[in-house]
Amino acid sequence: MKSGRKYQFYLGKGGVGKSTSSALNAIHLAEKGKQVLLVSMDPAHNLSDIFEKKLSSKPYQLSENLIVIEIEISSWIKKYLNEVESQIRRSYSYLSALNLEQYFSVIKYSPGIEEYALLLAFKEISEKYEEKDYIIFDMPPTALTLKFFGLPQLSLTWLEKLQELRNEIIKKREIITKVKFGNKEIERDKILKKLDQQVKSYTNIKKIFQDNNRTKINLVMNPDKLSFSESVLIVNRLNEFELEISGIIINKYSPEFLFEHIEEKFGFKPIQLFPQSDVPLIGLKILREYLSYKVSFENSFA
Amino acid sequence: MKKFADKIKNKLIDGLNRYDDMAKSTMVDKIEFELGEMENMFGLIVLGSFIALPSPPMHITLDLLPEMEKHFVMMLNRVDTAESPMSDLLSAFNVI
Repeated sequence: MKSGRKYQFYLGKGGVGKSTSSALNAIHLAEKGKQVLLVSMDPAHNLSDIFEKKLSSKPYQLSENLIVIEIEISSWIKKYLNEVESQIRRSYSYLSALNLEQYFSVIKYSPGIEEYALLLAFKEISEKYEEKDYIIFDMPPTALTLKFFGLPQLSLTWLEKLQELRNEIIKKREIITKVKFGNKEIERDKILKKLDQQVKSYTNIKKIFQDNNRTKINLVMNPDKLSFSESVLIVNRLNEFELEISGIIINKYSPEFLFEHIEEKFGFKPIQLFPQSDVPLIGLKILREYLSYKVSFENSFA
Repeated sequence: MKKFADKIKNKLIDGLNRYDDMAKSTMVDKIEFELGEMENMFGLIVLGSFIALPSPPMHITLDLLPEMEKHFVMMLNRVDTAESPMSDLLSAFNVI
């Protein structure tokens, strides 16, 4: 991965302007000459409407330095399940794998699969777009976003317990092999190998999320009570996963807004203001005009 | 006289070896039993969702599944022979 690569995540209550804020920041960075990839992770995509372009999972070159992608969670789930199924068909005997198809058709609706698909998308996009300076993620609604950020920790908790049990099993197997066959070399346990790989992968993702220099988790809110209280909930839940927000974006800001509440609940975080616009922020031209006339960027967002 | 002593010595060694084999075999049997049970536990924990037990997040199970054919088949056989309502559930999914 490119060493100076930065990640930005935009999260907040539904309808506060996560997509608009992420789009504005992406345009701003691209105009400064940075190579930017903007990714919509929201199942109900807004970027197509904001840019007035038909976007999809195929990268769309919006301007010289800005590429946009809208990822389809369902196709990532399908791709993942197909991969597992074909691995099983390769490694299992014909009979064991015979009736798995029907089970897999049910698994795609299992809890937890959606956030895992998002994590796979994050991982693959990070590896595929190595040359980008910034990858900006427009996140889904709060519940799914929190599950996404919590998944590496949750998986590590399970995997570490399974690793312990597996190591115990291997130790016992080694004793038996030693007594029965002497110092014969034992084949490395495939399950433990897989567990080790998974632990490594989740630890890496967790490190990326927690690295404040590389990763900015930006909380978007409106100057109203509802989005404020949901933002408090988001920050508390992120703290449980040992994650911190890097900055706060007040979208549709009006001068009557009181900042004391923000400092009281979130501490002193960089705050970026996006004032209320007189016209709907739709289309690259209008977004650019809005940026040049209405917005002055706070240092840590610039 | 030396022949007699050797004979006694060999008998003793033979006896000790037999005792050693017996002790080893009992010990190995015990560890093997324990190992079998631990493997069952591991299978139950990872593949529990296939027989309606609480289990790790689905992606952990799915990632390990290709390496766990032995556990998977055993689990299904056990459910099949248990004649429990669980086997009906699995039959409904047509897994076995």
